Amino acid sequence: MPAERSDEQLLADFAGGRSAALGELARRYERALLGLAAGLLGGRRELACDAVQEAWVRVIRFAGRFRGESRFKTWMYRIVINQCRTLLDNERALADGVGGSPAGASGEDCPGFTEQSRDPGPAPAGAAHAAKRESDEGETEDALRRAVAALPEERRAIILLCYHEGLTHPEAAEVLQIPPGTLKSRLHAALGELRELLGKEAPA
Amino acid sequence: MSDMFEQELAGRLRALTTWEGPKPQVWRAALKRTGREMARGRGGRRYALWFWLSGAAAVAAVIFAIALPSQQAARSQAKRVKLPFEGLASPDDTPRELEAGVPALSSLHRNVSNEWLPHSLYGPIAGQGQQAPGQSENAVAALAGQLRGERHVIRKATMELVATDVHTAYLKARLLISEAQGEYVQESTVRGAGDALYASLTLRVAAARLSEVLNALHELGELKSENATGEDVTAQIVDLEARLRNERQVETELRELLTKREDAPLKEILELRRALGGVREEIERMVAQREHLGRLVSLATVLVIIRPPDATVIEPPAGIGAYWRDSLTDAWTGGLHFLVRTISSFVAVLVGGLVWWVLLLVVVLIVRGVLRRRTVGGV
Repeated sequence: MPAERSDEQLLADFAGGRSAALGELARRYERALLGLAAGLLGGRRELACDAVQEAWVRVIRFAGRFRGESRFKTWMYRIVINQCRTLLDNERALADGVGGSPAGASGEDCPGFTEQSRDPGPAPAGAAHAAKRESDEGETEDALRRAVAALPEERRAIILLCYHEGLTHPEAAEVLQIPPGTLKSRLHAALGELRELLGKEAPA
Repeated sequence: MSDMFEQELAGRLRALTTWEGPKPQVWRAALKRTGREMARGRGGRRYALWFWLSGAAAVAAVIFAIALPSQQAARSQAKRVKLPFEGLASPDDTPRELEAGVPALSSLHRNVSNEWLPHSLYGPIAGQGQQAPGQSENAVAALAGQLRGERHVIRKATMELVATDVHTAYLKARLLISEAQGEYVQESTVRGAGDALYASLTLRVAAARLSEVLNALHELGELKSENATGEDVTAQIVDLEARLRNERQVETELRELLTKREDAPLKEILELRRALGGVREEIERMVAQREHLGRLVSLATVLVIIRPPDATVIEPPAGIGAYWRDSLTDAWTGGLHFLVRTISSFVAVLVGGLVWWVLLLVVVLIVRGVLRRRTVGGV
């Protein structure tokens, strides 16, 4: 059984003309990247798809110029984070121009959020408890999204990266290009702030 | 409690970054999109490359088109007029150059007539005639002759005319001769045909009519060069005449002596007869010389060359060996010239286009640098 090729090798293969290598990379990371992007964008899946697609575009364009100074994984995550940041900035700028708060900042008007966490159909009578439980969970998740969205951008990224299933803390530090110790201290601060925000909404 | 909250928080945070449901395969859309963009980019790059190459080629072609004709124009097709008369000087030569000549001019003169004598300035026009050195006695005699009103000058003129109708000018020149005054055409030559027709005439005209004939010849075409000389031979003639008188006097005395000494010894009579014969011979010689000088003085010599305006080279018929040699020489020379022209043209293109190619290279490097300066992923 042939040894699995590394991410860097697959990228080089793709730069050499093998499109299938990109598919293998997508199989390894696309779901995780979409999840991260969705988390950064307040659960909005379409925006997350746009961000990840744009990230793949950049990977394809600059595959030949990847110098290997960092690992492909961290490089890819960095691209996704920057794309999400760009989308949010554009959205904020558009909202400032039109007037009013940017859509999706609290996650309430986010189609993704609606799709993911709300149940449009009427609940059967026997599942009232389940529906209430789901509704409670949805409200909790909604509150969490609002609290995360209320965090400063840097702390929001730290929290989501550190709790992202696809990354370890050292990898998160590498993505953010900060030392692991700095990451740890900033994560602690971010969690504290998040707790305060959640404490305002959490039941006593 | 706090741990449970932390664990629940961790779980919920993890859920925020978890993608539920099927993947949308956005990487395929990105690949398709970049595939079109890269195709356009490649085409654009190819287009840009061809654009720059075409531009460089066009610039090189313009430089080549400018450099080569200027070289060819410098090596103009107008060749030096080579008259079909051997050794004749170029029409651009001044009369002094003509006179210096070209030995061929002298040789031509010799061919025409054996009566050319060393040159001197034309007396009445150019200035005073110059006396030959070391001839004080003759100078006295010449002066005596001038005082008596007798001056003997051998006049000759050479003239080159350019005429559109060479043949007509040639015929008109012949008509200027007045046979009643003893004038005649000593030599005439017509060579070539059409636009390459050349003509030359050697006219013997009365010395008194020389100016008149020269003025008439001026009207036959455009005067390109003219040279007139005159040599004062008065002293020589006077000297001849004096010596002739002396010899005649000696002859007369010898005849008288021979008559008086009829009964002299035979030896003396033979000696007298011998001396008389010698004197007679000397007299005859001097008379002939005097008559010769007289003819030179009485009839001036005019050499007229008539040629067309844009004369092309007419090679006189030569032997087959010379023709073969000349043909080989021309072919070799022509080949060398072609090689030189080709090499110079290549050099002109390379050197002339070098500046543009360097500029093109600089532009390409700048553009590539700008493209490479794009950061990956915004980092």
